[in-house]
Amino acid sequence: MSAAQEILLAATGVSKAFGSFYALKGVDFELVAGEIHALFGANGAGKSTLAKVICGHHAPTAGTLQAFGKPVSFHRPRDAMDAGIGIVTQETSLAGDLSVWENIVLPVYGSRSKPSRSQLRKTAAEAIERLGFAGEIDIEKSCEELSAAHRQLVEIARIVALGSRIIILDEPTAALSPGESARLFKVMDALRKEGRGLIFVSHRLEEIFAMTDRITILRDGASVKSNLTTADLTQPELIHLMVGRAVETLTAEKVPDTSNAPILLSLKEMRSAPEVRSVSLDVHAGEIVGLGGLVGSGRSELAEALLGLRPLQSGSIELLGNPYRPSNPRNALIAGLGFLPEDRRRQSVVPDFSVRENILLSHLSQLSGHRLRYGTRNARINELADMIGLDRARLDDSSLLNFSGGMQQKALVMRVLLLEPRVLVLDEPTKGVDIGARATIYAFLRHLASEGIAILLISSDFEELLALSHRIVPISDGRSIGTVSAGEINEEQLTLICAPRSSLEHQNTLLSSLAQQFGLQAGWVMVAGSQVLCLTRQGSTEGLSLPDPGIVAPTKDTAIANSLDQDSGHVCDEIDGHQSLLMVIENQRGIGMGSIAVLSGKNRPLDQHAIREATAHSLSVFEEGQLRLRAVGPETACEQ
Amino acid sequence: MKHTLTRLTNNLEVRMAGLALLIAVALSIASPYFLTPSNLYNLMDQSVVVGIVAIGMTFVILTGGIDLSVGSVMGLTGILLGLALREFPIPVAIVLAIASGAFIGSISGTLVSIFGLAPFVVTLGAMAICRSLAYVVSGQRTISDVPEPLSRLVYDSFLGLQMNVIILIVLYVLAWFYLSRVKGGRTIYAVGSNKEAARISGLNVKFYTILPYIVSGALCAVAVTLIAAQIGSIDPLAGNGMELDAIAAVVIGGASLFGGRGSIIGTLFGVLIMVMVRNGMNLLGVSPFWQGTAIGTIIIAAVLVESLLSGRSRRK
Repeated sequence: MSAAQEILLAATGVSKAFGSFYALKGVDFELVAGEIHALFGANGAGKSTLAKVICGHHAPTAGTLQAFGKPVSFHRPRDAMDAGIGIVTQETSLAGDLSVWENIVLPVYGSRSKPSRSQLRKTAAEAIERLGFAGEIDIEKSCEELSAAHRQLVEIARIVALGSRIIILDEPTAALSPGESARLFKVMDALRKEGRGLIFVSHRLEEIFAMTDRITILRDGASVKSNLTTADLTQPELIHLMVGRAVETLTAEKVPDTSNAPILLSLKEMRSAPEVRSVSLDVHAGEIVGLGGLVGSGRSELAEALLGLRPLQSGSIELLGNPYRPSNPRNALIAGLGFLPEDRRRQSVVPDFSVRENILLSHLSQLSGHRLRYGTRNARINELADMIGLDRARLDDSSLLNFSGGMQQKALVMRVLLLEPRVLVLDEPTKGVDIGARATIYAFLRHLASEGIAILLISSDFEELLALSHRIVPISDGRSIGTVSAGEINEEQLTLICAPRSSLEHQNTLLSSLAQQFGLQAGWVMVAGSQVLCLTRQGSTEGLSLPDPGIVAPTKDTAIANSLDQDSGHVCDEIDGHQSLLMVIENQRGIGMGSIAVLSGKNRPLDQHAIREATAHSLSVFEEGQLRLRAVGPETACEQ
Repeated sequence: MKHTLTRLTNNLEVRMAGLALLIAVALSIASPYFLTPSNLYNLMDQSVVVGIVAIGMTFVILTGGIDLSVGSVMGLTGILLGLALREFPIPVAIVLAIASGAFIGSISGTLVSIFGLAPFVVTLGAMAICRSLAYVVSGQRTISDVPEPLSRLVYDSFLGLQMNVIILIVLYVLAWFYLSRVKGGRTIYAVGSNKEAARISGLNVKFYTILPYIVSGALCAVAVTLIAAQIGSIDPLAGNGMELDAIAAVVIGGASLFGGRGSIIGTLFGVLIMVMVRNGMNLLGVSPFWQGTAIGTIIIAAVLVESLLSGRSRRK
């Protein structure tokens, strides 16, 4: 950054205490005009707290903030808004019942000026137009009808309409498909070019390297490094700075073979509408199965339905080999199903109970008599505390709320394990947990699995999901999509599989144009080891067909077995006079995003050159040009 | 030493006992009559009725609810008791009265727990209905033919204590034991502190949300029985305004209206503080018209002090 650039925001030694707990302790940070500045750190490092201090939700306990060269002290969000700072939060702050345009101009209602409705509507329309979504988002619609991605754009439009030059985006891609993220990045780029400063809060390395100019790394509430130029850093360096030591927690371990172990939890086409539509999966004893899905895919709702907190419409469940009908959480506990919910504060912690009694809560629920019998669990509690690394002396603290996120989670894991469940369902077990405690929890979960417990793991941190799970069951729009070995898939591929079906629209357009132009069937497939998953397909041929979408099939059983087997990128002959071609798609960083597979009609040879050319052209206008065809080697004979 | 002291003052019951003691000392200095045996005897006697109703109120408030109907339930169950006493032996009549109180509570509790209605609204409705029924059933007349032996519930004495005081003590010991040592009591705390967590952990949230209203209704009948025994007649207006005294006692006793926090011992001290202040003002000749202001100020001050002491930003 050149010295001439205007400094929009400067934070010096900013600290924020909640009671005796310091969420921020001495953060330095600077934002200049025309940059995207990443706030990077692990969960619980203080990123969101810093964002909230900057936008006036929290007043800093110590340190100074300067905006546009002047010291500022915000007492409420309105102050920051008036000073030209806007925030897009993780949970969108839109009023669902109001229309898009009303939401965009909502801040005006809080001010003294009283413009006319038509004027306000015009302001809103202009803001949407500036973001390039004029034809796509109808400003008269109510916000409830919008997709997650569009809601986010409405929030950004609100900030643009206010004329804010400082924009904070707090984990904006958490609920977006890769295509939607790409479009968001384009909008961010445009805002940067207009001379605004963007603060981008994220823990996804890919995004940070792709989008940001500078980066400030937070760890345990302090800025470890401030204002580094992103281009000067490598991924390992960045991770090292985030964790404070070389990473060792997230290495995938050797996956034990559990295929012969008994199936402890088995779901068949389980349905709990509207969120859970059809989920099938098996978890063997000793196995960790990861349920991979984006926010809103129905992951947590599935867990709740298993406990009987949501009605089950159809499908069958077997628990420990017996038919199981969820009725209420108590019966689930007694049947051997332990559940760790996602939201600690809302769903787990009993604030008025001591740590010990919090741990004993599930014990309390399964007592048959009236006596508490707390004493009978002391030995087990001590044993669990030692195993999970919770100081025994802290067990009798009067409130769990004084614990750090990691310690709270350890105590709550103890609560679940107290009844010795055979099947564990863990929803975001490391959310808001610091790195150190994470490592302990990971090790502990692996230990539990090695003792023969079946674990169903839900996590939006795909890196964690892939490292910890033995198998992954992707879920999208409430439907499970087969199962893949965790070692055979990467984060990007998993994100693509998990993308909401609505985002397949663009892929379908591309595929159907290919299908029409060449009279063939085209599909988007992901290959994982010896298995293939077809995400979507368009067109048809007489005779053979690409695998059904959403079903994982062995590669050798498909109509494009030879192409998949050869993986040459050239036309291959298949049985019955059909031909196939597999074209690998990659993103700007060369990471594979699946393949486009085409299957010809009977005795209708494929023109490899023409098809590749047409596909490459379609891709260049698709997903903002984020994807391209991977080059292929010289042609070799493709044998039958 | 300092550590022990901090821990002691961190304890709700200890703080309340301290406050009660402080008021007692102040009053004994201000009035020479305060510490006389007959006045102490008075104090206990006056604590009984509100003390019993406050137990039920504590149960309800611990779940995060409120019971505004206690006064009217006393009125209605009192009338039912009076009518039953004409037909049945005394113990049967008392059991019937208590059962009818529990029944009324079960209806309020069900509306709150199963149908998810706001406790404030449900018990406000019950308050109006029960008072109106008390008038209808009694024909707007005081029942004055209460059989004489009923008064033994108040005037018999044992170990130098009057029977009604013994009943109060027994009920407090039972309530304390239930809330701190029995599954149901701990469940009530858990439900009030974090209903969602209690549900997910498998506790029977629905039943233990209803139970406190049943306890409250039943104890209203007990309280009105003791009034009938003491004054030998039953008025449909009995218990009028009792909800305010009972809620005040519970709140002064340190309970949180959000639920989950409070204790039965705290409530007992809350009752004693209220009764002592009333008694002290009478002894000091404070005009009855000013007493409401004083009591109201004490309620607000007690809650303010409690919220500052237990401070923290636990419930933002």
